[in-house]
Amino acid sequence: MWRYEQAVQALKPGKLAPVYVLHGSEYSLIRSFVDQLTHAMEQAYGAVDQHRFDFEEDGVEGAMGACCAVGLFASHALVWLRGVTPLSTANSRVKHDTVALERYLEEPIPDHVLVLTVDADKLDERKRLVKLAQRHTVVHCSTPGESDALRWLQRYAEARGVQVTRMALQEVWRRTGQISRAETELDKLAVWCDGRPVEVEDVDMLITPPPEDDVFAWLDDVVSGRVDRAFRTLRDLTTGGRDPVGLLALLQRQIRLMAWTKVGAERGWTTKQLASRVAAHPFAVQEASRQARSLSLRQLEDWMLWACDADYAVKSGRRDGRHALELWMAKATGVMHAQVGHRKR
Amino acid sequence: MRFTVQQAALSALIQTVSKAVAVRTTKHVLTGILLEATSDRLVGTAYDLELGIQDTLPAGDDTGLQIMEPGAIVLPARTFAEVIRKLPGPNVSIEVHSNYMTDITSGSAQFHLHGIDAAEFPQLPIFHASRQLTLSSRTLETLIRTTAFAASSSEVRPVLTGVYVEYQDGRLVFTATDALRLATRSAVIPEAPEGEWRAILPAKALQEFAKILPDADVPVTLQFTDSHGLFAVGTTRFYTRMIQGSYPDTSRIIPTVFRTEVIMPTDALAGAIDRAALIARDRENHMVRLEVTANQVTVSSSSPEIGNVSEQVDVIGKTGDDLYISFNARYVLDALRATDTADLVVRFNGASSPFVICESGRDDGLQLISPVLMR
Repeated sequence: MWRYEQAVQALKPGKLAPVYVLHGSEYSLIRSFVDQLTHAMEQAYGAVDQHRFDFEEDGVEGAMGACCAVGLFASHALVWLRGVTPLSTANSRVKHDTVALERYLEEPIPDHVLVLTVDADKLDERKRLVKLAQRHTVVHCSTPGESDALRWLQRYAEARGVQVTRMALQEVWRRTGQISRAETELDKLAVWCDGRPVEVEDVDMLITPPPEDDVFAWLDDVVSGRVDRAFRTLRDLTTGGRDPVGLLALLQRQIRLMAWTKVGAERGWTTKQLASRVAAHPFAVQEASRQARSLSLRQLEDWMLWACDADYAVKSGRRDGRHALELWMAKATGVMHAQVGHRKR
Repeated sequence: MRFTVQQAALSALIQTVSKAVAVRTTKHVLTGILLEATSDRLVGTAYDLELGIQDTLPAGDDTGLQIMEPGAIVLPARTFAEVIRKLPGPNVSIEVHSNYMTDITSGSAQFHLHGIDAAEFPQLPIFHASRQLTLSSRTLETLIRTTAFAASSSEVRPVLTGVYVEYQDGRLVFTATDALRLATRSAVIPEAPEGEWRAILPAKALQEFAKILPDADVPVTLQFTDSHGLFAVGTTRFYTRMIQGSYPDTSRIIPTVFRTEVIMPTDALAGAIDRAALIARDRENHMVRLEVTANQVTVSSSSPEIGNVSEQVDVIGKTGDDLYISFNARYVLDALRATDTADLVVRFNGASSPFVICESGRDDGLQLISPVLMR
């Protein structure tokens, strides 16, 4: 059970805190927590007034007013102030005074429950506001690990009477990677399947795989020989508007760096020395050296030669850019396979 | 479509209906004003699907309206209104050609505006065999002015953004609340039909309607279906969507017994609270304190950063316990603005219960305000 779940289970009538601080990027976890909190309050007090304010738009004034007021219809109120950006390290577009909020956090009114939420995985602990907020219940609503997430989603599906096979659920998680997104996708799948269990095929049809638009991940895949992923990423990269000539240049730089790490190792240079010699970041050098570990300098020279040929072919108009990249990848990874196969033998 | 009309008359028509032109919408046609010319009149309509306003100009010498060729067109509201307002006058002639290109001519100025097909404009709700009531515009204006401001502006509970309208055998009651304050006002409608009905009308729409009511006292006709309300005054028809849902029972929260009752001059109290609110700005939640002792009321507020203020207001009469209470000055000032009498009666039930403000000598309405908890 992850910490968020423990916090939800602690929501019992009679054990409610006057202030809750919910932070994290998972909006659906925040919403679910507030729902549970409302439910617990209603169980404890009967009718509950609900007020919602947005910090960016209204500041703290309205929420503070609601916290200090006695409602006409109910003596207890749940006051939800959303987007309290000063709790996070992010720079807020608008500056609102938080003095009144700080004063309230020092001495909250026990009849009401104030919920502060912010879309940030980390709170800015240097601030006085955060220090005061941390005296109260802080609930971390960020994306959980895979096993917790799968359990949560399984329960989410069950609560809605949707059957999902284990494989399908895993695939949903792989493609979404976020509880909030996964939940909306599950709702969509439920409508699609209309009562029958959700299978992997349904997930495949309905949920778009996340775009692999990280050019560094692509480079890593290419030079480490993860062929299928590299091709998929290349497709997403070019769809996303990456220029093949630019990609080719990046590839050449990476191969050159890998070759340098080989040469550097022979001459006994440290990573730091090499980094300053070739004017690259030490981390980039470290990564390149890791990627080059299973390759020989000879192979790297071949790769470089093919890359230069490809570059020339593209720039002289004899080959399409993406085609040239694919060809290069096929050649290079073919070598990788031969080598891996050779090692196995 | 082809007609000529006095510039002032057309400008007034556009002014009236333009309050219902959609501002933010994905439907382009809603940002326009529909003009329909029939043989004897020109009808202008704006409708943002929540609120619709329709006004009519009859043909004749008063308006200078002459219709040569009937037809209909939708013109972009903002440009059209500005163009008509700034024309040299005194007459305007409008002619629609093919492709909805509209010529607007006045003096030697000639505009060509791109219009939209009138068939795209949504239909206003249709009213027939609905509940109906006629009352004076002054009465309606008072009912709206003294209640609508207290409605909620937040969508957390949609019914609270509306004004609850109750009718029973000639008595019309308007009630609005945002759960922290409540305003209610009733009026007896002479020669009204028997019957009983309820409706929740959007407070914002009612406030818009109050703005277009004429200064003179004229009859206004109200009509309701289950989903829409219609107010007709003179040549103007005002349509509004109704809010669906059940309005909370407000009768049980209005206290009937009191521990303290104070009668005070309205202006003196309003002035004192207005001044005290200067010190209690946003940071203090507009919190103003009120102390009731033997024959005096003290209004005060303080802020650690700004300073403090204290002012005595003489009371006309007081019965019951002494009291010390805090409240949001804005709520009380809003309520005082809605009172018309020189004196008012304020009734308290201790520092942590809502208090009631009534007009002295009248029992057709009240303002209920919840206090701020003192710490």
